[in-house]
Amino acid sequence: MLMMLSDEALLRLLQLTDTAFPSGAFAHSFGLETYVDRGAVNSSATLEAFIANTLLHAVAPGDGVACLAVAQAGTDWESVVQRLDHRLTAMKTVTELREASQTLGTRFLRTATQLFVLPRATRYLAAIDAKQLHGHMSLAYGLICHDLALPLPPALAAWFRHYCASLVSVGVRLIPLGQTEGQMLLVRLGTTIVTAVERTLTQDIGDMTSFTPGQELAGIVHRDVLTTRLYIS
Amino acid sequence: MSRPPRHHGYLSLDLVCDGGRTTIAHQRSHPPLQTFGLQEADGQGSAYLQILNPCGGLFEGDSAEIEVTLQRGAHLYLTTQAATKIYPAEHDQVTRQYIRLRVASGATLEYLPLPLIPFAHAQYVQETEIHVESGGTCFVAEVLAPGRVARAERFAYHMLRGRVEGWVDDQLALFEQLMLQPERDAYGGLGILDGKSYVATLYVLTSKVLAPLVPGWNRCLTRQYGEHMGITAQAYGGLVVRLLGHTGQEVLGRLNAVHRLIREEGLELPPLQIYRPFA
Repeated sequence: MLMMLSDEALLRLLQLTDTAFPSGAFAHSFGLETYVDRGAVNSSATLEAFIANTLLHAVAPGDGVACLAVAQAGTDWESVVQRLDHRLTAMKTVTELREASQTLGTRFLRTATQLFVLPRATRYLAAIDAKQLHGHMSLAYGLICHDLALPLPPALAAWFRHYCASLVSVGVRLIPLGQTEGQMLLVRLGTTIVTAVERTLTQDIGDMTSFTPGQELAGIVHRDVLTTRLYIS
Repeated sequence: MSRPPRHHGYLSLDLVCDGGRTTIAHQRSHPPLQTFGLQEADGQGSAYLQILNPCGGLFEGDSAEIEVTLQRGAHLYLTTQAATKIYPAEHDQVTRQYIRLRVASGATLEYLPLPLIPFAHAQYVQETEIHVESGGTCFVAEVLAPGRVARAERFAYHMLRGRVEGWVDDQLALFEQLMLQPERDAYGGLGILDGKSYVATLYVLTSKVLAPLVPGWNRCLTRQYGEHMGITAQAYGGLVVRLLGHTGQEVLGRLNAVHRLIREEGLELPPLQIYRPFA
């Protein structure tokens, strides 16, 4: 399923989805901190379950499908972005997770537009700065993929891997786990990432779905109930 | 070969406020959907009504439509007489239900049906569309059971697809869509149902600003019920409440408690004086 990449596309994807890329993703746990705090995630196996479930049932069928829709949009791309920006804002019901998507998306756009020539992404950032749109990570990434002509299957795989790597890093610090154990977990998550890409590519754009009520409740508890927090979400 | 819908149940209700009391101005229905038990809900003019389906549920290939409109000042608490059972799709026919709710400014609709129970091999699509004018309020609850638990039937249905779209005036305030295929995926794991099997959601569309009350409510609910329920404020106003539980009784009891909290503390509505299971 994952097609061959040109050297240039590979280098750009490696840079954009590097955990060192200053998007702010390292400061978010997307509810994982609550699970670790409550002892529900306390091992490599439970961390894998949380990451795989949230990837397959929220990130891929929701954000991944939105990303694909804007990356593949034609001349009407601005109306597609506008519709999905509002829909994602309404769909991300949990305040912390919605704000994470918006903050990461806006910061990602701000950095990337300084590095590359990105006509559509620049227009999206201008609409966010003008407070016409909210800015979401999935749409930012999709537009950048379009502007840099990055092939979508590997671009989705790289983004999903970035999501997994960020959460493995959170788990390694909080549980804690050894660095090698974390890397072994990332290897195991490879199969889930490939499944997530395949499902995203075959899902209808109108079918953006999400079903991770446990993660949403963890986001609510993280914001309103936890007394000490290392991560923003 | 595709078959025509087995039944096309239809219920349309139009309620008005007449001299301080909510009454039904127009009602149209087509079997199997009927209404039952119109009575006062709070002793202050609001109405209580049940939707009744004598078939006990929706059969394979059934298509049901419910349309409820509340005119200015009307206030209705609407529920179902029993759980909505979705019977097996033995011939691969999908069961469908469409719900359209319209709430005018100054009106309040509280639509809290009893749980949805998809039987083994059921295929079900439900779409809910809510339109609220500024100054109106709409509560919509959804409680999803894993199946017929008394028969040890859990997540044995074939497919369940749900969509909820909520608008306040011309603003999309709420959008949720889920697609569950238990034969393909397990939903009990961490991040999804966290080992529980019932999930409930309460949507609250209102122009009243409730967000500042949410953190205090969440701390209070967590102390009382644990961390498997929570309230979150929406970007365009309104709230979403999520709950997870092991049993229908547990989830319904908590749903009723959080509904009471929001309607009485947040919206300053008078207490309901009606019977509600597990309230």
